[in-house]
Amino acid sequence: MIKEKLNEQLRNQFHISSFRPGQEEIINDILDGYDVLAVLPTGSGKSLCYQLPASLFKGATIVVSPLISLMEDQVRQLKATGFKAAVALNSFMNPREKKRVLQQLDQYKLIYLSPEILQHQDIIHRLKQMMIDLFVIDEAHCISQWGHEFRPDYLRLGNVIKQMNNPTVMALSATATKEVQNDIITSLNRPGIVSHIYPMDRENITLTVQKVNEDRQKQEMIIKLLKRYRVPTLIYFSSKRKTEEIAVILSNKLPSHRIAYYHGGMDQVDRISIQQQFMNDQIDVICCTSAFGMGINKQDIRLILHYHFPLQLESYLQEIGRAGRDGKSSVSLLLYAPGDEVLPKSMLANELPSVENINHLFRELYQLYLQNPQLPPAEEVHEMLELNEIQWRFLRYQMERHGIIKENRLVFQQERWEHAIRHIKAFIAERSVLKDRKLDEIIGWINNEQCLRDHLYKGFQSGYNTPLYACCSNCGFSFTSWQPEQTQASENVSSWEAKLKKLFFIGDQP
Amino acid sequence: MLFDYIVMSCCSRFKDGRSISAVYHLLKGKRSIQTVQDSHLYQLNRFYGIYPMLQKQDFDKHIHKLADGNLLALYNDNTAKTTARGENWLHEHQEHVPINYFNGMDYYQKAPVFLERLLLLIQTMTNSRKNNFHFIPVIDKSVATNWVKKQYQQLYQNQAVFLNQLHEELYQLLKNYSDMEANIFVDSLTGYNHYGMSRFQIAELYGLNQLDIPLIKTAIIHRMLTIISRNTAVYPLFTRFLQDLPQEAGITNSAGKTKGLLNKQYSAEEIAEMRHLKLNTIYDHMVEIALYDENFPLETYVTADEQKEILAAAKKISSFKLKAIKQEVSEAISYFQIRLVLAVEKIS
Repeated sequence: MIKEKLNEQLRNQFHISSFRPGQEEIINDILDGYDVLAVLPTGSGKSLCYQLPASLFKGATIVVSPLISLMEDQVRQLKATGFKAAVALNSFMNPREKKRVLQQLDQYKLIYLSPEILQHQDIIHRLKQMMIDLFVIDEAHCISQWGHEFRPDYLRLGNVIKQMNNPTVMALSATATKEVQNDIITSLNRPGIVSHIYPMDRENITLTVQKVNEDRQKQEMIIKLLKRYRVPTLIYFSSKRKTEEIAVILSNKLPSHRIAYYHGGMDQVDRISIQQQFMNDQIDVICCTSAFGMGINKQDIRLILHYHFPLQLESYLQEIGRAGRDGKSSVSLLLYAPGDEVLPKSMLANELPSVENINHLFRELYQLYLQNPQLPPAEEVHEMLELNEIQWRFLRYQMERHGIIKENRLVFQQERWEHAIRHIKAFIAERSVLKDRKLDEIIGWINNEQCLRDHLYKGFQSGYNTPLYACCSNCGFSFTSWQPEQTQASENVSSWEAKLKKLFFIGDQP
Repeated sequence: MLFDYIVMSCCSRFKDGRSISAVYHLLKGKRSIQTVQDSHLYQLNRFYGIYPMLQKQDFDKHIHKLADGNLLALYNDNTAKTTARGENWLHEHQEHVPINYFNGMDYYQKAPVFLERLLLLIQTMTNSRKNNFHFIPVIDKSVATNWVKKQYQQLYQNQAVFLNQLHEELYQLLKNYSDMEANIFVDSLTGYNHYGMSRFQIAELYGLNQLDIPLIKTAIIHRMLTIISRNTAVYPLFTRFLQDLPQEAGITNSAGKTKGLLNKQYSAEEIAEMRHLKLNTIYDHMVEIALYDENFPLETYVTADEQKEILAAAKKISSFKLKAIKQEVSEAISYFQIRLVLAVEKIS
């Protein structure tokens, strides 16, 4: 029986000695053929819930994942543990590479895909020839969060599952409110899905908010704090430029610390190097955007700082959830200065085209239609309409929904256009209200004077565990009493000749 | 500093003939006929394609910095000219920059692949030596991975010997560099339980500008490739790294089709008609073919006298600017003819 092999497989394939809370129950349900919706806190080993069954199933497991970097990280890590039958397919692969992978697709046990690529007929065709035992939607809250706006293919997953002959379905998320859970179930059309919802509060993380008057004070606070503590630290920023800027400042002020930055705009070798140096304790502090962290699993991150606050509490929870996976006392500190709302507000405003701009955009599109109904390449459209990539993706999807773009061609019909314009405006207004509400929620939380823990988890679950260490800055926490174990300084090798010898083990005892 | 020096050198060579974005395209290695021709004509081949990761933003920022420092004068038509002060600056600094290391036109595609192979093979062999097969590779491009797999199969039984010899060859190679260059290179290598430094980390450690780090690394690699290919007997292991590296240059697919039809004696007009392309596009192809094909039949399109006239004009006004040359020559000579002559005469 497959289940008896569970523990053995856990040790041999994944080098893990025992299950963490929730994992075994979820895996058992999957092996019994039940569809599962699982909401597990970050750092609780979500991926194992499908990776372990995938390693036992005869057929393949499909994992739908929102980000290429995330897929690649997962595949890299699986391969590093010795699970070689894993692959990531995405729309950016060159045709030759894609063809090669498609030909050998049945040799893989775990296939990571983007929702977009699941709309390609050649992929669907190939998958239909194979035996698919399990269909996983990782980060399933994306169905609700992005599906409606600019990743419509998330909303088409239900249909894809049907085409795959209805394999067992697993939807996974670390942050899904009741509202989002219902959205997922409806969209996948799986009313009978078994829900495994685990509380997401982290009892070993102390939550703190510190208000300052201006940017410079944030920097002074961070420097003061890091002088005291040399512990694995992440500092989150909303802008790539700022990660670089502050990393330079901190490096100058804290010569004994090893500091680096990380964001999605770096080349791949540098990104992997920084991630792995951090894992290896070669770096103490990383100034990063939200791009950092999803794929990494470091146990002893002690300090999570927010230089900028994220756009919603869900993101905040995910980011602080990276601290203290080993259960030891860890601290999250969010720095807030008056005027900090401006940046997230303008980020939100830029996500969708503005209602005021819609008439103008449609006039331009009409001119385009008169010249040639065929749409030019996306980059040209961006330039012509002065829209960014996300804005155009949104608009395009909306126009497809209203039948005024078909197969990459503009289709003009007066009434239909007018109808579409009205609806798109209303929809943008509705989404903006929702996002503003999310932003207000997190600003409200920052400014709240009662217990931060109580307020934070209220929207997600009923109650929470008693914190193991200090609760929050509103319940009386002071850094003076926090004494985590400090990272030891490593020895420095000076000359390049010596470094090279060390790298190649020259002079080591055989 | 290195970046600024290279930009200034390009502007100095270009004189007022080219727009500032021509420098950008040259460093990025844009596969356009204009850029390739610029590179040949102005003898900037060594810088061609040496900075594929360059961001327009960073480039613009530095151009303005150079202009603010009065080293570079910017004009309204987007051209830039080195100032007298700028020329002095170039002269003063020429000793301190490894300009001679670069060989862009020959290595712009080979160098990244060579580096990827080296990084991944060192990481693989050092980990394998310690029996650690659970590491995250710094490179996961399948071309590099497949190559390393093949090498590994041949080498793993003699890992200790291999590591010793690779160390020895790398040590010998690095002795050709300054201490700082050798340090930068070694710091960016990844081994067992040790990951190489990012460009920011290196910049911080050595007090350099971040923008210069990829250039320094590229310079080091280009020089390595030159040294290895001249001394294959001294570097038997590294010579293996040079096998089946991607071929440089060569003409684009579309120009290749045009070339096939030209060889069948079709005229440019006929080819445009057949391929549903503009005549000017076909002309572009022909200039591209002329750049790479040493046997290009120039006389078919430009008589010997016309050729002389064009070259004399270019010499007289000491510029390769098409418009300026066109004004100097008789009216019957077309832009296309001028471009062809300049393309063929590139290697002067």
